[in-house]
Amino acid sequence: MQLENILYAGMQIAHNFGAAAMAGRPIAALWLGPARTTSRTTFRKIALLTLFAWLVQGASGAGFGAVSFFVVGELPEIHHLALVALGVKIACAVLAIALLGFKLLGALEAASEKATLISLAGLGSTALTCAAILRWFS
Amino acid sequence: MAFQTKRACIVLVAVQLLAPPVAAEEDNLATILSPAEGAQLKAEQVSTLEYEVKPEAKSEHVHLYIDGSEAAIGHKLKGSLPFGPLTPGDHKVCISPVNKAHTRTAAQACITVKVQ
Repeated sequence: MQLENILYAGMQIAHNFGAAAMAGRPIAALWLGPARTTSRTTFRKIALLTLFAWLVQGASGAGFGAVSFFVVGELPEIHHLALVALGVKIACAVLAIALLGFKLLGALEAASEKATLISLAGLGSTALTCAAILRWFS
Repeated sequence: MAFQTKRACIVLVAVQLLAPPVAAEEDNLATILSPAEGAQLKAEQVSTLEYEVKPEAKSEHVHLYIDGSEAAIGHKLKGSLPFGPLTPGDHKVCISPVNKAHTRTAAQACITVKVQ
């Protein structure tokens, strides 16, 4: 088995679980409703886990590029629509990590828990949509 | 002395690990079957490029480039892709065998076509 396949598969496993978590957690929290998710402790746990998922997404996404460059010897050939999709994915990750960071540090009291979850669900869904574009276009 | 040798070995190993492998300049794993090198094509007409990538290239799909700009993706390793219409003059047409991460796994195959 080739080294790059093992490394790509490892990155893909992390990326898939990260994707499921970063989009699924806020959507599930909204689905379950405020009675179960807007207590400060519960929201904090959801926020921490979602932040971890976004960090995994960022690291594994960079990992794909690192495997391509250091193991295969080339950077991915990404152009046009796929390049836009990659940019949007990175922007979603930066925004979600910033939002969660500020919220967890208590520096964003103006945003309610529900508004934060809706924003995270939107960012996660957008990133997942862009992932499909990035996969099938280049 | 032994410490310096050990440190030199560590540096050498680190350099080897960090240096990306160099892709083969010419490995002939990807081939453009048609049009032929130097073929004359008609302007404002869509042409068909036929290509083949050998399994040894360990590619998943191909990217088609016209004058260095990506024009299409082919999801077969042996198949055809429409390209053009092209403006009159010489144009470089290349296919690049890539893996699922859109990373080139073998040397590009290129031809130059003359469009009249």
